[in-house]
Amino acid sequence: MNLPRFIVGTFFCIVFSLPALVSAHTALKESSPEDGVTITSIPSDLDLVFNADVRLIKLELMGVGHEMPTNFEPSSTAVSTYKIETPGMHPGEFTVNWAAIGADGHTVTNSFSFVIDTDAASD
Amino acid sequence: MLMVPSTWEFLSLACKLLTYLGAASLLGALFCIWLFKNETRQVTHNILTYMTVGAFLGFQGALFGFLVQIGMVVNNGPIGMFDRGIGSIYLDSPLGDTTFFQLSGFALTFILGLTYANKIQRITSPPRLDYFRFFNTGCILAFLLLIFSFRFSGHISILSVTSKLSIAAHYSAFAAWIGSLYPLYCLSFSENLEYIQDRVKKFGDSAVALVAVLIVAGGLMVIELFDSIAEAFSTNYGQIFLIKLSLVVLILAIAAINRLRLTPRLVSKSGVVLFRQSLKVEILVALLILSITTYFSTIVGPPEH
Repeated sequence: MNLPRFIVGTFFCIVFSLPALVSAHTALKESSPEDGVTITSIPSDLDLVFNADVRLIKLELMGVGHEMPTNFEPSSTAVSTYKIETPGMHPGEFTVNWAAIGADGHTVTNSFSFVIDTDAASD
Repeated sequence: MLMVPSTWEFLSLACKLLTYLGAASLLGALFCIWLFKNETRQVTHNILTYMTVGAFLGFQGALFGFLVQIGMVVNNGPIGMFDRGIGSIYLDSPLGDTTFFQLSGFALTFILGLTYANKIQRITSPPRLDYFRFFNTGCILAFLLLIFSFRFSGHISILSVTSKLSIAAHYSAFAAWIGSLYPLYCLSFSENLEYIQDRVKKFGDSAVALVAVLIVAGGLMVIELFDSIAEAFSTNYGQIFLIKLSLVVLILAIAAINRLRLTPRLVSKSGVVLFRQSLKVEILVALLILSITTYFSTIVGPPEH
Protein backbone atom coordinates (compact mmCIF):
# COMPACT_ATOMS: atom_id res chain seq x y z
CA MET A 1 0.00 0.00 0.00
CA ASN A 2 1.34 3.44 -0.94
CA LEU A 3 0.92 5.33 2.32
CA PRO A 4 1.21 8.89 0.93
CA ARG A 5 -1.46 8.21 -1.70
CA PHE A 6 -3.69 6.57 0.88
CA ILE A 7 -3.44 9.59 3.15
CA VAL A 8 -4.15 12.06 0.36
CA GLY A 9 -7.03 9.98 -0.95
CA THR A 10 -8.62 9.63 2.48
CA PHE A 11 -8.22 13.34 3.09
CA PHE A 12 -10.03 14.32 -0.10
CA CYS A 13 -12.78 11.73 0.46
CA ILE A 14 -13.47 13.21 3.88
CA VAL A 15 -13.35 16.81 2.69
CA PHE A 16 -15.57 16.23 -0.34
CA SER A 17 -18.11 14.29 1.70
CA LEU A 18 -18.74 17.26 3.97
CA PRO A 19 -22.07 19.03 3.47
CA ALA A 20 -21.92 22.21 1.43
CA LEU A 21 -20.42 24.81 3.69
CA VAL A 22 -21.76 28.25 4.20
CA SER A 23 -19.53 30.94 5.60
CA ALA A 24 -20.45 31.68 9.20
CA HIS A 25 -18.88 35.14 9.19
CA THR A 26 -20.76 38.37 8.64
CA ALA A 27 -24.36 37.61 7.75
CA LEU A 28 -27.42 39.50 6.57
CA LYS A 29 -29.73 39.52 9.59
CA GLU A 30 -32.79 40.83 7.80
CA SER A 31 -33.79 42.51 4.59
CA SER A 32 -36.76 44.33 3.19
CA PRO A 33 -38.12 42.82 1.05
CA GLU A 34 -37.31 39.53 2.76
CA ASP A 35 -35.79 36.60 0.95
CA GLY A 36 -38.32 34.49 -0.92
CA VAL A 37 -41.37 36.69 -0.37
CA THR A 38 -43.92 37.96 -2.87
CA ILE A 39 -44.86 41.56 -2.24
CA THR A 40 -47.85 43.36 -3.69
CA SER A 41 -46.56 46.93 -3.74
CA ILE A 42 -43.56 48.34 -5.55
CA PRO A 43 -40.82 49.21 -3.04
CA SER A 44 -38.95 52.49 -3.36
CA ASP A 45 -35.91 51.15 -1.54
CA LEU A 46 -34.15 48.09 -0.21
CA ASP A 47 -33.24 47.77 3.46
CA LEU A 48 -30.36 45.54 4.53
CA VAL A 49 -29.53 44.92 8.19
CA PHE A 50 -26.34 42.96 8.98
CA ASN A 51 -25.36 41.20 12.19
CA ALA A 52 -22.41 43.59 12.66
CA ASP A 53 -20.91 46.72 11.11
CA VAL A 54 -19.76 45.93 7.57
CA ARG A 55 -18.51 47.74 4.50
CA LEU A 56 -21.06 47.00 1.80
CA ILE A 57 -18.96 47.06 -1.35
CA LYS A 58 -21.27 45.53 -3.90
CA LEU A 59 -25.00 45.50 -4.46
CA GLU A 60 -26.65 44.45 -7.70
CA LEU A 61 -30.39 44.45 -8.13
CA MET A 62 -31.08 42.05 -10.96
CA GLY A 63 -34.36 41.76 -12.79
CA VAL A 64 -34.83 38.96 -15.31
CA GLY A 65 -31.89 39.43 -17.67
CA HIS A 66 -31.07 43.02 -16.73
CA GLU A 67 -29.73 45.08 -13.85
CA MET A 68 -32.05 47.61 -12.19
CA PRO A 69 -30.83 51.12 -11.32
CA THR A 70 -30.12 51.93 -7.68
CA ASN A 71 -28.32 54.72 -5.84
CA PHE A 72 -25.84 52.26 -4.35
CA GLU A 73 -22.21 53.38 -3.95
CA PRO A 74 -19.55 51.07 -2.42
CA SER A 75 -19.05 52.03 1.21
CA SER A 76 -15.67 52.61 2.81
CA THR A 77 -17.35 53.17 6.20
CA ALA A 78 -18.63 50.23 8.20
CA VAL A 79 -22.26 50.34 9.38
CA SER A 80 -24.83 47.64 10.04
CA THR A 81 -27.84 49.13 8.23
CA TYR A 82 -28.14 50.14 4.59
CA LYS A 83 -31.03 51.75 2.75
CA ILE A 84 -30.68 51.68 -1.02
CA GLU A 85 -33.07 53.61 -3.25
CA THR A 86 -34.58 51.61 -6.09
CA PRO A 87 -36.25 53.91 -8.61
CA GLY A 88 -37.93 52.35 -11.62
CA MET A 89 -39.00 49.10 -9.99
CA HIS A 90 -41.80 47.15 -11.67
CA PRO A 91 -43.59 43.83 -11.19
CA GLY A 92 -41.40 40.79 -11.71
CA GLU A 93 -38.75 38.57 -10.12
CA PHE A 94 -35.69 40.19 -8.61
CA THR A 95 -32.43 39.04 -7.07
CA VAL A 96 -30.15 41.16 -4.92
CA ASN A 97 -26.48 40.12 -5.06
CA TRP A 98 -24.35 41.72 -2.36
CA ALA A 99 -20.80 41.60 -1.03
CA ALA A 100 -19.58 43.03 2.27
CA ILE A 101 -16.32 43.19 4.23
CA GLY A 102 -16.82 42.19 7.84
CA ALA A 103 -14.95 43.33 10.96
CA ASP A 104 -12.69 40.27 10.66
CA GLY A 105 -11.60 41.43 7.19
CA HIS A 106 -13.32 38.57 5.41
CA THR A 107 -15.49 39.29 2.40
CA VAL A 108 -18.89 37.66 2.39
CA THR A 109 -21.03 37.41 -0.72
CA ASN A 110 -24.62 36.27 -0.82
CA SER A 111 -27.96 37.04 -2.42
CA PHE A 112 -31.67 37.09 -1.76
CA SER A 113 -34.69 37.12 -4.07
CA PHE A 114 -38.21 38.40 -4.04
CA VAL A 115 -41.17 38.81 -6.37
CA ILE A 116 -43.29 41.90 -6.98
CA ASP A 117 -46.81 40.91 -8.00
CA THR A 118 -49.14 43.92 -7.96
CA ASP A 119 -51.99 41.79 -9.40
CA ALA A 120 -52.07 39.71 -6.22
CA ALA A 121 -53.19 42.78 -4.25
CA SER A 122 -56.30 43.16 -6.34
CA ASP A 123 -57.22 39.45 -6.22
CA MET B 1 -23.11 16.17 -1.07
CA LEU B 2 -19.97 17.15 -2.98
CA MET B 3 -18.55 20.53 -2.07
CA VAL B 4 -16.10 22.19 -4.42
CA PRO B 5 -14.79 25.74 -3.94
CA SER B 6 -15.50 28.21 -6.75
CA THR B 7 -12.56 29.24 -8.94
CA TRP B 8 -12.10 32.48 -7.00
CA GLU B 9 -12.30 30.69 -3.67
CA PHE B 10 -9.79 28.12 -4.88
CA LEU B 11 -7.40 30.89 -5.98
CA SER B 12 -7.88 32.62 -2.62
CA LEU B 13 -7.04 29.38 -0.80
CA ALA B 14 -3.98 28.78 -2.98
CA CYS B 15 -2.68 32.30 -2.32
CA LYS B 16 -3.14 31.95 1.42
CA LEU B 17 -1.38 28.58 1.38
CA LEU B 18 1.58 30.21 -0.37
CA THR B 19 1.80 32.82 2.41
CA TYR B 20 1.80 30.05 5.04
CA LEU B 21 4.52 28.16 3.16
CA GLY B 22 6.53 31.36 2.79
CA ALA B 23 6.36 32.00 6.52
CA ALA B 24 7.29 28.39 7.25
CA SER B 25 10.34 28.56 5.00
CA LEU B 26 11.48 31.76 6.75
CA LEU B 27 11.19 30.49 10.27
CA GLY B 28 12.31 26.97 9.37
CA ALA B 29 15.47 28.27 7.69
CA LEU B 30 16.22 30.59 10.62
CA PHE B 31 15.68 27.74 13.06
CA CYS B 32 17.97 25.39 11.13
CA ILE B 33 20.76 27.96 10.81
CA TRP B 34 20.58 28.60 14.55
CA LEU B 35 20.29 24.92 15.46
CA PHE B 36 23.00 23.53 13.20
CA LYS B 37 25.66 26.02 14.26
CA ASN B 38 28.69 26.56 11.98
CA GLU B 39 27.16 24.51 9.18
CA THR B 40 29.12 24.05 5.92
CA ARG B 41 28.89 26.81 3.30
CA GLN B 42 27.05 24.60 0.82
CA VAL B 43 24.40 23.50 3.30
CA THR B 44 23.93 27.06 4.55
CA HIS B 45 23.65 28.30 0.99
CA ASN B 46 20.98 25.68 0.27
CA ILE B 47 19.00 26.68 3.37
CA LEU B 48 19.20 30.36 2.40
CA THR B 49 18.08 29.57 -1.15
CA TYR B 50 15.13 27.62 0.23
CA MET B 51 14.19 30.60 2.41
CA THR B 52 14.51 33.04 -0.51
CA VAL B 53 12.31 30.94 -2.79
CA GLY B 54 9.77 30.58 0.04
CA ALA B 55 9.72 34.35 0.56
CA PHE B 56 9.20 34.91 -3.16
CA LEU B 57 6.25 32.52 -3.18
CA GLY B 58 4.85 34.09 -0.02
CA PHE B 59 5.09 37.56 -1.56
CA GLN B 60 3.21 36.38 -4.66
CA GLY B 61 0.61 34.72 -2.45
CA ALA B 62 0.00 37.91 -0.45
CA LEU B 63 -0.13 40.13 -3.54
CA PHE B 64 -2.35 37.90 -5.63
CA GLY B 65 -4.49 37.05 -2.63
CA PHE B 66 -5.35 40.75 -2.41
CA LEU B 67 -6.11 40.97 -6.12
CA VAL B 68 -8.17 37.76 -6.04
CA GLN B 69 -10.40 39.24 -3.29
CA ILE B 70 -11.11 42.20 -5.57
CA GLY B 71 -11.74 39.91 -8.52
CA MET B 72 -14.08 37.75 -6.45
CA VAL B 73 -16.28 40.73 -5.61
CA VAL B 74 -16.24 42.38 -9.03
CA ASN B 75 -16.79 38.97 -10.65
CA ASN B 76 -15.84 40.15 -14.10
CA GLY B 77 -13.05 37.72 -14.93
CA PRO B 78 -9.33 38.38 -14.39
CA ILE B 79 -9.66 42.04 -15.42
CA GLY B 80 -11.93 42.56 -12.41
CA MET B 81 -8.94 42.08 -10.09
CA PHE B 82 -7.72 45.56 -11.11
CA ASP B 83 -10.96 47.46 -10.39
CA ARG B 84 -9.76 50.71 -8.80
CA GLY B 85 -12.93 51.53 -6.90
CA ILE B 86 -13.15 48.21 -5.07
CA GLY B 87 -9.38 48.08 -4.79
CA SER B 88 -9.22 51.41 -2.95
CA ILE B 89 -11.89 50.24 -0.49
CA TYR B 90 -9.93 47.07 0.18
CA LEU B 91 -6.73 49.08 0.65
CA ASP B 92 -8.46 50.94 3.48
CA SER B 93 -9.84 47.74 4.99
CA PRO B 94 -8.24 45.16 7.35
CA LEU B 95 -7.26 43.17 4.25
CA GLY B 96 -5.20 46.10 3.01
CA ASP B 97 -3.37 46.31 6.34
CA THR B 98 -2.77 42.56 6.42
CA THR B 99 -1.45 42.56 2.86
CA PHE B 100 0.87 45.49 3.57
CA PHE B 101 2.51 43.76 6.52
CA GLN B 102 2.78 40.44 4.69
CA LEU B 103 4.34 42.03 1.61
CA SER B 104 6.80 43.91 3.83
CA GLY B 105 7.76 40.78 5.75
CA PHE B 106 8.27 38.68 2.62
CA ALA B 107 10.13 41.43 0.77
CA LEU B 108 12.54 41.85 3.68
CA THR B 109 13.04 38.07 3.88
CA PHE B 110 13.68 37.83 0.14
CA ILE B 111 16.30 40.60 0.23
CA LEU B 112 18.05 39.09 3.26
CA GLY B 113 17.99 35.57 1.84
CA LEU B 114 19.30 36.63 -1.57
CA THR B 115 22.00 38.85 -0.07
CA TYR B 116 23.33 36.26 2.34
CA ALA B 117 23.07 33.39 -0.15
CA ASN B 118 25.35 35.42 -2.46
CA LYS B 119 27.66 36.52 0.37
CA ILE B 120 28.19 33.00 1.62
CA GLN B 121 29.52 31.87 -1.74
CA ARG B 122 32.40 34.36 -1.40
CA ILE B 123 33.70 33.27 2.02
CA THR B 124 36.32 30.54 2.22
CA SER B 125 35.41 28.83 5.50
CA PRO B 126 32.17 27.69 7.19
CA PRO B 127 30.29 30.75 8.48
CA ARG B 128 30.31 31.31 12.22
CA LEU B 129 27.06 32.02 13.99
CA ASP B 130 27.91 35.70 14.57
CA TYR B 131 28.22 36.09 10.80
CA PHE B 132 24.46 35.94 10.81
CA ARG B 133 23.80 38.51 13.52
CA PHE B 134 22.32 41.14 11.19
CA PHE B 135 20.59 38.43 9.16
CA ASN B 136 18.94 36.93 12.27
CA THR B 137 17.72 40.32 13.44
CA GLY B 138 16.32 41.10 9.99
CA CYS B 139 14.58 37.75 9.71
CA ILE B 140 13.02 38.04 13.16
CA LEU B 141 11.75 41.49 12.19
CA ALA B 142 10.37 40.03 8.96
CA PHE B 143 8.58 37.28 10.86
CA LEU B 144 7.18 39.77 13.36
CA LEU B 145 5.72 41.70 10.42
CA LEU B 146 4.00 38.49 9.27
CA ILE B 147 2.73 37.71 12.77
CA PHE B 148 1.49 41.29 13.18
CA SER B 149 -0.60 40.91 10.03
CA PHE B 150 -2.88 38.54 11.99
CA ARG B 151 -3.90 41.49 14.15
CA PHE B 152 -5.91 42.95 11.32
CA SER B 153 -7.90 40.15 9.78
CA GLY B 154 -9.06 36.62 10.32
CA HIS B 155 -11.48 35.18 12.81
CA ILE B 156 -8.98 35.49 15.64
CA SER B 157 -8.48 39.22 14.98
CA ILE B 158 -11.80 39.99 16.63
CA LEU B 159 -11.25 37.79 19.68
CA SER B 160 -9.34 38.40 22.92
CA VAL B 161 -5.67 39.22 23.45
CA THR B 162 -5.15 35.66 24.70
CA SER B 163 -6.37 34.29 21.38
CA LYS B 164 -4.17 36.67 19.40
CA LEU B 165 -1.10 35.73 21.43
CA SER B 166 -2.03 32.06 21.14
CA ILE B 167 -2.27 32.17 17.38
CA ALA B 168 1.08 34.00 17.19
CA ALA B 169 2.71 31.26 19.28
CA HIS B 170 0.89 28.48 17.42
CA TYR B 171 1.78 29.91 14.00
CA SER B 172 5.44 30.43 15.00
CA ALA B 173 5.90 26.95 16.45
CA PHE B 174 4.25 25.28 13.46
CA ALA B 175 6.23 27.37 10.98
CA ALA B 176 9.54 26.57 12.71
CA TRP B 177 8.74 22.85 12.86
CA ILE B 178 7.28 22.37 9.39
CA GLY B 179 9.67 24.83 7.77
CA SER B 180 12.61 22.78 9.06
CA LEU B 181 11.46 19.50 7.53
CA TYR B 182 12.60 20.27 3.99
CA PRO B 183 16.14 21.35 5.04
CA LEU B 184 16.28 18.20 7.16
CA TYR B 185 15.21 16.13 4.16
CA CYS B 186 18.00 17.69 2.07
CA LEU B 187 20.55 17.08 4.83
CA SER B 188 19.63 13.38 4.82
CA PHE B 189 21.32 12.98 1.41
CA SER B 190 24.74 13.55 2.98
CA GLU B 191 27.21 10.66 2.76
CA ASN B 192 28.26 11.22 6.39
CA LEU B 193 25.89 9.13 8.55
CA GLU B 194 27.25 10.53 11.82
CA TYR B 195 26.51 14.04 10.55
CA ILE B 196 22.94 13.09 9.65
CA GLN B 197 22.30 11.47 12.99
CA ASP B 198 23.76 14.45 14.87
CA ARG B 199 21.59 16.95 12.98
CA VAL B 200 18.40 14.89 13.22
CA LYS B 201 18.92 14.28 16.93
CA LYS B 202 19.45 18.01 17.57
CA PHE B 203 16.29 18.82 15.64
CA GLY B 204 14.31 16.15 17.47
CA ASP B 205 15.39 17.46 20.88
CA SER B 206 14.34 21.02 19.97
CA ALA B 207 11.14 19.94 18.26
CA VAL B 208 9.77 18.69 21.59
CA ALA B 209 9.58 22.32 22.79
CA LEU B 210 7.94 23.41 19.54
CA VAL B 211 5.30 20.69 19.84
CA ALA B 212 4.57 21.69 23.43
CA VAL B 213 4.02 25.32 22.38
CA LEU B 214 1.84 24.16 19.47
CA ILE B 215 -0.41 22.07 21.68
CA VAL B 216 -0.79 24.61 24.49
CA ALA B 217 -1.42 27.56 22.14
CA GLY B 218 -3.78 25.50 20.00
CA GLY B 219 -5.70 24.44 23.12
CA LEU B 220 -6.15 28.05 24.25
CA MET B 221 -7.50 29.01 20.83
CA VAL B 222 -9.95 26.13 20.84
CA ILE B 223 -11.29 27.14 24.26
CA GLU B 224 -12.03 30.62 22.93
CA LEU B 225 -13.52 29.51 19.61
CA PHE B 226 -15.87 26.82 20.91
CA ASP B 227 -18.42 27.21 23.70
CA SER B 228 -18.74 23.46 24.19
CA ILE B 229 -17.40 20.13 22.91
CA ALA B 230 -20.76 19.59 21.20
CA GLU B 231 -20.06 22.55 18.91
CA ALA B 232 -17.04 20.70 17.55
CA PHE B 233 -19.41 18.02 16.26
CA SER B 234 -22.49 20.05 15.41
CA THR B 235 -21.00 22.95 13.43
CA ASN B 236 -19.21 22.94 10.08
CA TYR B 237 -16.23 24.76 11.57
CA GLY B 238 -16.07 22.18 14.35
CA GLN B 239 -16.18 19.25 11.95
CA ILE B 240 -13.33 20.66 9.89
CA PHE B 241 -11.43 21.34 13.10
CA LEU B 242 -11.82 17.66 14.01
CA ILE B 243 -10.33 16.65 10.65
CA LYS B 244 -7.40 18.96 11.35
CA LEU B 245 -7.05 17.51 14.85
CA SER B 246 -6.89 13.98 13.39
CA LEU B 247 -4.10 15.05 11.06
CA VAL B 248 -2.28 16.73 13.95
CA VAL B 249 -2.45 13.49 15.95
CA LEU B 250 -1.11 11.65 12.89
CA ILE B 251 1.82 14.02 12.41
CA LEU B 252 2.69 13.87 16.10
CA ALA B 253 2.72 10.07 15.84
CA ILE B 254 5.02 10.23 12.81
CA ALA B 255 7.32 12.68 14.61
CA ALA B 256 7.41 10.41 17.66
CA ILE B 257 8.29 7.40 15.48
CA ASN B 258 11.03 9.44 13.79
CA ARG B 259 12.52 10.48 17.11
CA LEU B 260 12.19 7.25 19.08
CA ARG B 261 12.54 4.51 16.44
CA LEU B 262 14.14 5.88 13.28
CA THR B 263 16.73 8.35 14.60
CA PRO B 264 18.69 5.61 16.47
CA ARG B 265 18.76 3.64 13.19
CA LEU B 266 20.56 6.42 11.33
CA VAL B 267 23.76 4.40 11.55
CA SER B 268 23.15 2.60 8.28
CA LYS B 269 22.14 3.67 4.77
CA SER B 270 18.93 1.64 4.98
CA GLY B 271 18.09 3.49 8.19
CA VAL B 272 18.61 6.81 6.42
CA VAL B 273 16.39 5.73 3.51
CA LEU B 274 13.63 4.74 5.95
CA PHE B 275 13.97 8.04 7.80
CA ARG B 276 13.82 9.96 4.53
CA GLN B 277 10.59 8.17 3.54
CA SER B 278 9.08 8.95 6.92
CA LEU B 279 10.05 12.59 6.49
CA LYS B 280 8.28 12.66 3.13
CA VAL B 281 5.08 11.42 4.76
CA GLU B 282 5.51 13.96 7.58
CA ILE B 283 5.91 16.78 5.04
CA LEU B 284 2.83 15.57 3.17
CA VAL B 285 0.69 15.48 6.32
CA ALA B 286 2.00 18.94 7.26
CA LEU B 287 0.89 20.24 3.86
CA LEU B 288 -2.55 18.71 4.39
CA ILE B 289 -2.80 20.37 7.81
CA LEU B 290 -1.79 23.70 6.26
CA SER B 291 -4.35 23.21 3.48
CA ILE B 292 -7.15 22.52 5.89
CA THR B 293 -6.11 25.43 8.11
CA THR B 294 -6.16 27.65 5.04
CA TYR B 295 -9.62 26.37 4.18
CA PHE B 296 -11.28 26.94 7.51
CA SER B 297 -9.54 30.25 8.14
CA THR B 298 -10.72 31.57 4.77
CA ILE B 299 -14.01 30.02 3.74
CA VAL B 300 -15.65 28.92 7.00
CA GLY B 301 -16.11 30.98 10.11
CA PRO B 302 -16.25 29.88 13.75
CA PRO B 303 -19.62 29.28 15.37
CA GLU B 304 -21.48 32.47 16.26
CA HIS B 305 -21.80 33.16 19.97
